[in-house]
Amino acid sequence: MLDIAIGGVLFGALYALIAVGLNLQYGVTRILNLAYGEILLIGSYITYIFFKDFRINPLLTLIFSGLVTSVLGILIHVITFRRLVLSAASAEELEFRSLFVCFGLILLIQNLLAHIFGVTPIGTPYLMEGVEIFGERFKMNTVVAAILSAVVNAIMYTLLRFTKFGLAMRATAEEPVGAQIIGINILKIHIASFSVGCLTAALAGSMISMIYSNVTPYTGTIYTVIALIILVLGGRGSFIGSIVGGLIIGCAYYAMIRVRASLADPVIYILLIIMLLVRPRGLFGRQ
Amino acid sequence: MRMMNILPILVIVLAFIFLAPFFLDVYNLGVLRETLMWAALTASWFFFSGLTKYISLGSAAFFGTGLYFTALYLEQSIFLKNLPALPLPIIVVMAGLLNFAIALAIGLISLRLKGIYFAIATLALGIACQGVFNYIVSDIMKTYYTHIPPFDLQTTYYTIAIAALVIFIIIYTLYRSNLGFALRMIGENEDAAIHFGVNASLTKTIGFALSAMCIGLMGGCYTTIFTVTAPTIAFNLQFSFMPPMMAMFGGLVTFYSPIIGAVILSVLRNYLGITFVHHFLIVLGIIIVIIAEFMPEGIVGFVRKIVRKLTMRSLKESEKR
Repeated sequence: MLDIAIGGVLFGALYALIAVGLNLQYGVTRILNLAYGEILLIGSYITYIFFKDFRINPLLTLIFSGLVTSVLGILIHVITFRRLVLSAASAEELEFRSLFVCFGLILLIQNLLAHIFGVTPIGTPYLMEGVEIFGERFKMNTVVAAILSAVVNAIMYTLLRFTKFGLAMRATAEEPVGAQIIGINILKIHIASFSVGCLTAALAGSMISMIYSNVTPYTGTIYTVIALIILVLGGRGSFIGSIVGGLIIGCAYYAMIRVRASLADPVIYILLIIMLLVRPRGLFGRQ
Repeated sequence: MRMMNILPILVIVLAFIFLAPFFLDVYNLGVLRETLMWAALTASWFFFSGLTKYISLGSAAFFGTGLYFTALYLEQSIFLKNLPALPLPIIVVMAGLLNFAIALAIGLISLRLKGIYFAIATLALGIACQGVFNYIVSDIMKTYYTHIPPFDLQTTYYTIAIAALVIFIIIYTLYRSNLGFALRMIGENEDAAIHFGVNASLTKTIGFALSAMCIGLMGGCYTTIFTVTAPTIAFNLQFSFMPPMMAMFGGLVTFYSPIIGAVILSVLRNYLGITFVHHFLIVLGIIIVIIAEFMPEGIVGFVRKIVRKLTMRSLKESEKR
């Protein structure tokens, strides 16, 4: 029981890191970024090149992969989504058309990665040695990933809670029209939150390439789906929700892998369906 | 467009589809078979998601369930003799009904919610269904693959062609029926539709289940092209992402525009995508972004707009004279 709890928390921390960026992007901009997993993979591949070609510590390349993807996030938003936000007649039309932009981005990023790096699975095996926690052995890199997730989430919390910038973000998420009336430039806030979301995605991607050695250009969608399920579970635009949701999914996943690995995905799906039935706005979501 | 205007085109297309095995070589016949498959999937997707604007990303769930159910039944009945041998159409119809039931259950739960929740629930459904069949194959049957009795090329071609035509007829009839009209009203303005007495949640659920049934039928027929299959092949996410992409490429304006989009993309994919796999898909990605940005009505809508502008101009000029 204890080993499942610890393993679940370690897994769940990684999942929380995966989900937090998507939740921020969707919560503030109301654009569902289906290409999120692909942006995460860009982080994985940046870590991979630096590790393979220059033998640079994957933990040091975090800064670089974060920088690249946050700039990329700004570019993607300015080039594609901004025009949609300005031209769409209704919220539904925006949702509809932004999904199709995401389809295009998925194809584009997947095949660019496949063209440059090939389709063989890659990984940056680092810190593979085991550590013992309460008599259970875990790989060192999962522990490092969990610590990174805690640090990133703490920074995000401080940013959202105690800075003026974070206040503007929360205001935009809750009441876009009201935020505009009191003088918040919501387009700027949208771009900023999109970029921060891409940054955390890249951090998660670097950790994933360290832990699993099966990253290919086509695995991105799996992480998008995980992040989406956590988003539904925790509640749209809720920061605490994405952490708690990540921990729940992590524990459920880890427990199922111990019991019967092949049934893990259906069980997670049943969790999602129960949530949609009982409390569609999520554990911590606002109405 | 009047029925009389498109009747000759329809006859030519039908004759082409039915006589194709007599003059096309093996490769081109395979391309035509796949094009018909994608066109049927896209039309089924369009019937629900295109009309109501509730985006379903779960085509792979229904396609895969149809395909894998049929594959398992064929394996059990022909190789292992555990089940009575039935003709293929009956198995495929069973697969379609299974999908109808699954979609009904998922629709009842997730269609009450507005916005992206439906997209998330259907996208995750594909992965969950793959998990269920993976469990059946690996844990219960202790194997990795499912073997299917081989069919010759002509049989598979005609199976898929007839299934595609049946699906087009079903979808077209539904599209012109009261149900299709109600779905379109929901897509335009759901609150107004409810005011006019449309039972929105029931209509949506039935429409979704019918569209899933058609996708499952096509999945069942697509089984015939394999001799060995696995859940990772049947539930490939391209079956979820390609139909919306093809429909959007053609435009969500009328019944035939998504089919045109599917035909164009599938043909391009099979001729250009074989030699330049990544380049082609990179360019396609950029084209999809451009279409979503600048042509919300797709290729067909764009062409229509240009034609309308040209006719208006010529009308004005003739008036001046």
